[in-house]
Amino acid sequence: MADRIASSLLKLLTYIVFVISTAVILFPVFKGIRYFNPTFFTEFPSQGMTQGGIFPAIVGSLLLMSLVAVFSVPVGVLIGVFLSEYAKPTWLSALLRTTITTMTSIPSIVYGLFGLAFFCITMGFGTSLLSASFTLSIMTVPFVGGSVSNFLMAVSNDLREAAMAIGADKRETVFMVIRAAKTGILSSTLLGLGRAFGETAPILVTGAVFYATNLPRRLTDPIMTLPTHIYAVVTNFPEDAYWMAYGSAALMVIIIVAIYSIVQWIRRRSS
Amino acid sequence: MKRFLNFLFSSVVVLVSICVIAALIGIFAMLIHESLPALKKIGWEFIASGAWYPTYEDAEFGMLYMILDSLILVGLTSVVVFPMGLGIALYTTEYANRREREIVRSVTELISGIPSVVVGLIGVLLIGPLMLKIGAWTPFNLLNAVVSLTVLTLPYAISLIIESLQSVSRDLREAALALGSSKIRASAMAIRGAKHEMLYALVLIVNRVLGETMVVLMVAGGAVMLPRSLFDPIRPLTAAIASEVGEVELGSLHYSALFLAGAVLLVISAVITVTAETFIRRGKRWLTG
Amino acid sequence: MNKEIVYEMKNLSAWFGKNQVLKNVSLKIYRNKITAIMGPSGCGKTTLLRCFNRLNDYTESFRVEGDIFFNGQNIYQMDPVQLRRRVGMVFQRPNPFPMSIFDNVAYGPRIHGLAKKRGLSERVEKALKAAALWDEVHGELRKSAYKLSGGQQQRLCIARAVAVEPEVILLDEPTSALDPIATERIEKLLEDLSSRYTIVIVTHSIGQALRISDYLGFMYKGELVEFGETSQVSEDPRHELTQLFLTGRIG
Repeated sequence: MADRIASSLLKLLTYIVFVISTAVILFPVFKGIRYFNPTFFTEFPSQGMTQGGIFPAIVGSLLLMSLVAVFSVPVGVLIGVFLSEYAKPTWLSALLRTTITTMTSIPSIVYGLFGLAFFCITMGFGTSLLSASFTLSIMTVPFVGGSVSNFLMAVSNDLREAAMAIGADKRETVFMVIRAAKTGILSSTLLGLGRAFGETAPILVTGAVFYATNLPRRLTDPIMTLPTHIYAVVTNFPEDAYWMAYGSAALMVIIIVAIYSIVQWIRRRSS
Repeated sequence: MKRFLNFLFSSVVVLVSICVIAALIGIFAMLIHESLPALKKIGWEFIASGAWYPTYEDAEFGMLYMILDSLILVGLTSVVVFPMGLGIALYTTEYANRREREIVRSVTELISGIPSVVVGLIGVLLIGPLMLKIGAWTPFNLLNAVVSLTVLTLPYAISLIIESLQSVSRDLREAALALGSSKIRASAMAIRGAKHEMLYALVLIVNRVLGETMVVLMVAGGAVMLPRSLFDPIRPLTAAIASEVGEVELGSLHYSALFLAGAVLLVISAVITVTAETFIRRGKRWLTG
Repeated sequence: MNKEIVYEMKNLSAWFGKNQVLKNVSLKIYRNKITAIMGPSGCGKTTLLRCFNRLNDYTESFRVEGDIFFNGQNIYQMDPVQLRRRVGMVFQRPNPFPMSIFDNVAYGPRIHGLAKKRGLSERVEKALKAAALWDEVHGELRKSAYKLSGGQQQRLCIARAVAVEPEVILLDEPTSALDPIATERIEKLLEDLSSRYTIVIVTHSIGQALRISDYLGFMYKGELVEFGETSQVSEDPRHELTQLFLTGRIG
């Protein structure tokens, strides 16, 4: 009897929460998707964000993500390799593991502060695409590295031994393990980039402008991005500009859901 | 050639690893370096006073209220998120059928990726107007922040708690059921068995809320004060940093004070984590005698 | 008959941590013969086999004393990569690489720079024929190796080892994961291969050891209790333990 009650109560809770949170998440999509048209994707905003589109923010996010991918994916994979394939329990591997857990728990705004002080000011990159991409890369590396190392460690030792037994050296053995874990590495990468794509605060501090009339031409130019654009519109503009924030948010949610769906699809296919 | 490539590869792997460790040290060093001027100038006043008037002629840099705002927000949000997450996780692991389990799993995963700025937008444009309807004097306040943060962190909490419940071996649960205990008792047993893992999950949730910036920046209201009701606006540390660092004069005392606020954030998070870990360790020692 | 010694193991002892797994083992492996090592599980036979190509070395707690000579050269003074190029190995469970059938077999020749494009396909074909797999797969060399059956995968692993033309092939219970028909095929294959390669096989199957080997060793709790020509060991074992094992009373 008590079981029946507990079960129904929990079921009710689960269903209610699910319906509500799904509805809440879908709210910006429903509100925003109606603004999707060629103009919205290909034009600069104009008339105080009431006309035009989000073209520069899309391009900015794309540029930023490409740079983050270039910087953080190779480094993340190498870190994963070190943790999984080189890490006999030495002080260095223990230290690296602690480093990664610490880094994943640092709030993103602190990365923003660091990026501001180091990349923008000390290195002299200014508020720019370059500063923002370095800052986001530093945030992304520990996430990708930790996740990649888990996938590499899940590769059966049989494979390492098979490669070694045929005379493969360390590098060749590692490449074989990487090849065996490639779908896992791909999903770690996608998830890491998906997270970076949604990050706002660090970009706000290190690389974003709210309004640009040109696309960035150099790495040291500041950029508009989708998340900072949403923030700017919602907080700094009157109500007749909100449509643009809804549209941008809808686009972001769709992209994120697409990324996560791809990851789930990869996982289901490989298991 | 082959040997050279092998050597080169290993060197690169080790070198990159050292660079990442160096990056963390660099982050800490930079944060300390930039916050030292403020610490020297302001002294312990920064933690003893709540008066934060960074742009006044006679600037004051008391962070006490902002620290308390952060802690209040973290406390309230955890109190809402954790039990809800636990309930849903329990239903999913103990009662749900396969289909429901699959749906919960994949939907929480999809939702957990939603960027915080989008949740901030929802907080401003959907939850804010609701606040006025239920009698708040401003759409952006503590309650709005709690609700928005719940939307943001609940999926994360659910998957963390599911993971910790699953870490309890099935044997324990089946043993309880075999002894004729009801399903609730068996679930209670699972919770007891996973209490360390769950404490750890709670720490992760707390840290996530503590460090969350965009949502609180957009919906918490931004007033440096101690809230007396859920409808009062607040300004947690992260919101202060994010909103002020853009306009601050580089190298000024205010600039340095914001880095100090960042350091305070890290210290709070470290204290929470270490306390929980001590608890867990002590608990284990107590269990094993 | 003049028998050429390929491997000579002298007073080999080995430990995993504090646990001694090999106790003072000495034996000789002769060229182009099949040597089988049998014994109950946990007797150290697999560890012994993995000493021949130094595959235990990377295990953290492993420690070894004594010498192993390969063609007169001490293997602990050789580059393990070079040693393993000349000594192939096949494992208990088939462990093909996550690649196509062709690339699996071509992997060894490729990493050792043994053949360029043209020669490579010939080599692969030869190895697959030697492993009696060619007829079954020659039309679908681009297919993933994971699509093959367990027995085919194990023969692929043999082909992979053969493709670098090693002197010795080590086999660690290669048929324990296979059904009787696949097992029979592999036993037959090993006999064919022994004309060109020196074969050392570890097995817990007495029948298999007796059927295919020229030399037979029996291990028990880390010691090589008995070693000699198969006919002699099976008909007139010197040691009582061997007798007990052969008649199924221990094991």
